[in-house]
Amino acid sequence: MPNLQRYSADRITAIVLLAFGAAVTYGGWVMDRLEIRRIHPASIPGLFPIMLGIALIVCAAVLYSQSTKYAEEGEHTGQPRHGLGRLTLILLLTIAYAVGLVGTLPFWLATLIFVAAFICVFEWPRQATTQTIVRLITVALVEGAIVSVGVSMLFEKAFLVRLP
Amino acid sequence: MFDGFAMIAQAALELFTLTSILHVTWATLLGIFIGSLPGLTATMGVALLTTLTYGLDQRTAILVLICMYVGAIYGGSRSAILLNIPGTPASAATALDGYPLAIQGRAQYAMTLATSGSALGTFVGLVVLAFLAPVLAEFALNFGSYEFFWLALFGIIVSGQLTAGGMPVKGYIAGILGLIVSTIGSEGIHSHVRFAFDIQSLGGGIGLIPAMVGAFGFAELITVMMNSRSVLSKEPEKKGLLPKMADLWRYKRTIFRSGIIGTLIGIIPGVGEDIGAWSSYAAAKRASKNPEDYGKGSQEGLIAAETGNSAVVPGALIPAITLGIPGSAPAAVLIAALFIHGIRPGPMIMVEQPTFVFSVVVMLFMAMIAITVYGLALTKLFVKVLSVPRERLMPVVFVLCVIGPFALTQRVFDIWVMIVFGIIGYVLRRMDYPMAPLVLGIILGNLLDKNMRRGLIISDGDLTPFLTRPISATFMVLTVLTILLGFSSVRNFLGRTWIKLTAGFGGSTK
Repeated sequence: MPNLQRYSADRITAIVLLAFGAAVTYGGWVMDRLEIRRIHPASIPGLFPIMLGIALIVCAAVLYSQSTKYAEEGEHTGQPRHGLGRLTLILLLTIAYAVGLVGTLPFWLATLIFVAAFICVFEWPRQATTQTIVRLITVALVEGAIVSVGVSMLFEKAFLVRLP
Repeated sequence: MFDGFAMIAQAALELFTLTSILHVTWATLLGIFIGSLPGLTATMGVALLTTLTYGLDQRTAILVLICMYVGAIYGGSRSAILLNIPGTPASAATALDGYPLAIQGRAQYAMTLATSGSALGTFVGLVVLAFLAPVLAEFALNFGSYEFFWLALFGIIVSGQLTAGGMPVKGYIAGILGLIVSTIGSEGIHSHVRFAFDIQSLGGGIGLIPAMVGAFGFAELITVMMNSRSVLSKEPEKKGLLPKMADLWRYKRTIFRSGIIGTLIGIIPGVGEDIGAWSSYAAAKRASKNPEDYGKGSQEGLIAAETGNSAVVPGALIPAITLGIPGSAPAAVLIAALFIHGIRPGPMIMVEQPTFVFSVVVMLFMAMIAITVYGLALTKLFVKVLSVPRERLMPVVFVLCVIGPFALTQRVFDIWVMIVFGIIGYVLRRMDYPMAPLVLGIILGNLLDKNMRRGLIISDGDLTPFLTRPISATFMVLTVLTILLGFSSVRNFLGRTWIKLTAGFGGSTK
């Protein structure tokens, strides 16, 4: 049975790539040709992007035309076990740490919070009792503390990096 | 040749120190752990470790990265044998016969056989590296802009073709996307800033290490967390026997063949260890007296796969060091690490740093000894490592993904680059786009662009030298053939023509 989801995903990707290829080609075309510096016309900075854009357009067209066949015959990665909710949670936690906490709080504190939160969120028991929750939070905080102190010491003391 | 031996001896004298051995010990062990944990790959290991080598001297930094690379490729066999889950894609062929051996109660035997295969594969590869790299570097001194243009293009095309499974166009697209990323920032001929959109941080371009840490570290973290399941359900049986020398001698041809195939696959730009393992496995099966045993616990199959993937490592370093063109994704990261540590890979390497190639040979030898020792001694420890829940391991990996790229330039911008590439990498993986051509595109973009435009300046805009110079023409023919063979209609047409030709020949002889 054809994999209709993959078929439409490939078609949509092909259209997006086609548009992106066109944008890169246009970007290369309108790029400064440095005439004022009298460079050789064959060495204009936009030449390579123009070629890449055209190549991407061609490949996107081939992808579009081949997507039906591939959906019927091709091998593809299996569906992940978890859904969009888990993906959102992963991205929220990681991005909140990398973009929000790091640079705002001291690195060791940001790392402690992130590691502990990550462990708690993804190991939270389905049937939580006070005992299991206390144990989980303790383990998460201990690992968070070890990681934050270990990584901070390694980079700050051994590699002389000024942490964010 | 005697110069070569003398330089190997000199490198050995310099490297076999207590400090170096200590570095080999921890780096290889770390590599084996990373390789054995499903979801963590050699590329990620090398990329993350690169960020930890800033404070080390040049030689030690390269030593630990090579040990990480060798260890991670070897480490993948642990989980492949014990859990039927390849630790890295390179060990997928290992699982075919390793796991059946494990469920027959011969897990320890299988692991020591895999260890022997990996060590011998690395050895075959490093011997080829020692002999071939200086010759290739000397030959590459004849390369001009035209040749380097085609070589880089051929590398991206062949990598896209061989790593994209049933749909080569996805490999090409990944390669082109990598090349487009490489155009961001100041270009190499006129220093004109391209696609920076007035963002000052983009002026210097996208750093390879943040991009790689994102595409391989963060993207792998998301993949692992999305696919999480309890992987540790089995432990190795304790009644396994250790392989005897006679067992290895019995498979001497398989070992030699797989070692050579793995090394040659490694030399092909951007192809990598998994293809090396599968090619060696297929060749061993074709040549075997007992092909029916393959997939059911064939010792020959296991040793072929492991010898093949480990031999790719030295093979991949041959073009990486002598041409600046990586033979695999981890080798691409290694090239970036070489630049960071002041080594300029390329044809001039034998002129500028003639001992470097031989130092790498000795480093590989040290890593080979380390994997042998660990493989034979630490079977139980690997099982314990595999029992670490991913939920506890992944936040540590992510902390390193964040702080590693930052440590290089002290720019928060590089953390954002890592995040963006992680998300792009995850989406591309989900859509079955291979990562190796993307990496190759990012690393070869500058080489391709500069040599194309430099070649055009030299020829005053004339394309003829790109097509007529002997080495250029050879690479051009290879590139076009590779693209054409990617189309099933062309392959079918060639197959039909071949059948017709052979049938006609057969008819005429009757």
